[in-house]
Amino acid sequence: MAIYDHQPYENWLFSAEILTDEQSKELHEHLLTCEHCRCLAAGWQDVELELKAAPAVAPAPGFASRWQVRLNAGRARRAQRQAVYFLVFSIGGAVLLLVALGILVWPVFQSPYPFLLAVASRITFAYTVSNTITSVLETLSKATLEVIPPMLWLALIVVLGSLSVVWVFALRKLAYVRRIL
Amino acid sequence: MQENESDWLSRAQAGDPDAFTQVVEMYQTPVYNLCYRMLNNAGDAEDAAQETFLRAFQSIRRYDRSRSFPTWLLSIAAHYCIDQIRKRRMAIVSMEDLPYPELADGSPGPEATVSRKEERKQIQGILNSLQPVDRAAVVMYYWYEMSYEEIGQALNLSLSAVKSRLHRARRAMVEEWITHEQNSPSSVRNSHGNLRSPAI
Repeated sequence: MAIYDHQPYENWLFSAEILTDEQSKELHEHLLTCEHCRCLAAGWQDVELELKAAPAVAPAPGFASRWQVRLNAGRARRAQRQAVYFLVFSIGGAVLLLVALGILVWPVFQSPYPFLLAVASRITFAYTVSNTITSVLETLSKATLEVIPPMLWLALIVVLGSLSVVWVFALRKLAYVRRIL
Repeated sequence: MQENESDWLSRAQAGDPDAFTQVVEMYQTPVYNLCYRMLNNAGDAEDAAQETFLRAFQSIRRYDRSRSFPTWLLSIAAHYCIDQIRKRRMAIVSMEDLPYPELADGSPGPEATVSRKEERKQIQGILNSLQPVDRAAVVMYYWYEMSYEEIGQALNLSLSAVKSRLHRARRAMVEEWITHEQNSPSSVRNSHGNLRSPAI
């Protein structure tokens, strides 16, 4: 019998599908005459029995405890790795910043006199400007004091003080939540 | 039990490692057995099972509660073991050269014990002759009685691919079994007393 003649019977033997009555009968008749398929069927019967009889193998006792130890070790390793990454990143960043600063400052080190001159002229300019502003403010305040009489100053202070008191009370009133019984 | 499992899973998904330890306690044997049947070595199986639970713990937040948890867990274990077998194959030898493991056997009588051990070694040897994915499918089908759909989900295979892989695996296992029987002088009858012909 050619190999392909066994094909449907082998399919039925190994498919694990439920055969129809007709297919069962056909297979039965074929097995009576075919040594090859009979051998396969017997072998499969044994293998299936062994597979179904084989027990589930359990791990050695304390598996969950070993898992916890492994989990903690993994976490510690990860934390250590993160710390190393952080350190490397920080040192790398600092080195980069230093390099950038060096590139910026390098021309100053090469010829410091123009830089020092520029700094001195900036300081002088700032001093002159602040002196000018101070003298202008002084002149203005003197002129104002001469124009406004002392009674008006007093009235202005009283009004501003009263407004401050009103503002504080209003704030307290709004800030406290009214309790409803 | 189901309620406990659901509660533990919820807590584990919220990041509670103690709850996940309960899950480890619950599923250690199925996961270890799958790893053992796949890798055929107690030490490797322990490593693989531990790694499976670590990976499961790390990705538990991504676990979809509408899916079966054992299927999800066994899927992680199977994929890890398949990778290990492929690495191992690339690194060293054919699995045929590896020794069969010693399995604990509770059956009485020294003769019966020896006979059962032989058969279990033989069944493990037969499993080792299969392709890694086929082996995973066989273990899931025969040890965990998973449906074709569940096996397909776990191994990322279509339904027809699962059927065809199981068919091919059964055929390969029988051929390996017959070869072993022919080479073994003491195996005119099998342990169940069957003659070398099927019950037709």
